[in-house]
Amino acid sequence: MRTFRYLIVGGGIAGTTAAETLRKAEPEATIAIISDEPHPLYSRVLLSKPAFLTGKQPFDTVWMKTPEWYVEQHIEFLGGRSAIALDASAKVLTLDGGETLGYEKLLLATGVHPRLWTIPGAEKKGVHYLRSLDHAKGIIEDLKDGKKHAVMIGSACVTFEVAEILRSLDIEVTEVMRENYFWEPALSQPEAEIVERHLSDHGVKMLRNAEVAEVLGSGERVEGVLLKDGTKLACDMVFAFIGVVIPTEWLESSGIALEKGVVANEYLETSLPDVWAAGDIARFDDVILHDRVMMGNWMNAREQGHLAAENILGAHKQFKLVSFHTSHGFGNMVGFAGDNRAIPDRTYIFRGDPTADSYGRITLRGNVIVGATMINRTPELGTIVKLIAGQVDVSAKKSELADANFDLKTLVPVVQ
Amino acid sequence: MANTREYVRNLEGSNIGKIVVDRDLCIAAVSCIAVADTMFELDGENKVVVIDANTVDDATLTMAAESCPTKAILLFDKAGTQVFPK
Repeated sequence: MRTFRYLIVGGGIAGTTAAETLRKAEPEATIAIISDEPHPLYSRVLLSKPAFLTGKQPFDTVWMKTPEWYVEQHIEFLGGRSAIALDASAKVLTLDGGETLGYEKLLLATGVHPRLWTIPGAEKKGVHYLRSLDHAKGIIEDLKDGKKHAVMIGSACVTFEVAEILRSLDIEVTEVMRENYFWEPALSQPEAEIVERHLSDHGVKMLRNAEVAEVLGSGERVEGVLLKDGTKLACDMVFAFIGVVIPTEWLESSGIALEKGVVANEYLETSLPDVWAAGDIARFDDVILHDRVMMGNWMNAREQGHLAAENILGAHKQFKLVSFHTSHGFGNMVGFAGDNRAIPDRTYIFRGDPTADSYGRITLRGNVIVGATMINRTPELGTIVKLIAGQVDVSAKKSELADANFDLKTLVPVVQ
Repeated sequence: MANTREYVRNLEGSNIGKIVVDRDLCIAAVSCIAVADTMFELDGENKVVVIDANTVDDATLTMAAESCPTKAILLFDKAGTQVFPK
């Protein structure tokens, strides 16, 4: 059995950043990355962007590392392989096929997987997910011979972005959502109304409180969908953006603490010795939010990969970051900062004018800001992040927060 | 180059003389801001701009550029040769 000094499960931005950080610090250490995808690191963020998905931007711009990079860095890349069991007392990882690998330090950075549809007909050609490069390739290929009508399921970031892409190709789009409104609950209803107005103005049909019962098609390809209320919609593509599953089943027998993700403390240490977690898979103790959270975004994944590696090397640093991310569609940008989960102890302050497409929502827990969503108020995002990070008491400033003309920057504590 | 903005860097001891942000490529994934929030911020067009080209060392600046998922940040040495992306 081969044993690595550093073993990393997951070849995305978290795992690869960790490998890079470890290599810089220790030129001679043995490092391996196990990835269930065969590809070197690519830009997952780019997959749902118009220029890439429509082929206007060269496909190769997606790569963030070349196969040669792993060779030069002496990082062994075990692509297309999955870890299936962990024995933390023996410090052994078992891969699909039965091969075992030993480790001294282990990082879990697998990310999450798209939830797959289990309804009848879901396996038909033309039913797409969008999480991995291979998913994107399938969509790019399918769009080549011209499509007329797409049905989209779910309502969130990727749906918003792909809807714009499909409309730009003159493909009719019907959005089928279980929710009462688009992007519920990540956006409040007044915010969602802005997004919905832009979707409608660009010809996207929306069916709310609706669910697909079956994917139709006499042959291999999708020809339509049947809704639970009996409505049939003809279509030649379906985008099933129905959420993610958190792949931790293989870890259950290891005894590691799991809680819809791998539980990690503020140092990104898991409950098992010499095992760390980073990226979308980590449910970590956030020292700013004073809460145990998961953050599924690129910025968080990269920074956690970096910090986990530093701690693996012995730094013992707390993970301290207010991460934020954005989504774009039909000329609008929706930004999300911090924690915007709809939790009963939260209160909200609205900011701006929804009819002017410039609107935001600041989420408070008690008198501190824990999150914000900003539609077309991007320059304020950075300031909001600083207010969240500073855990500023805003009890005396609530009316100012609601005043769209009030300069939020004046609330940021001056760092000495 | 297309829609780009250039920022001169004159930090003493730095090997990087110029930072270029390709505004067509920038999608506001904002990982650069996570790495160097004293240097980068978003403007009103949802694009990253450099607010001060001299606030961080070369290693941090390179890390910020490398973190960008669309390679929208280009770095040039003092002689004008592009050093990232290679």
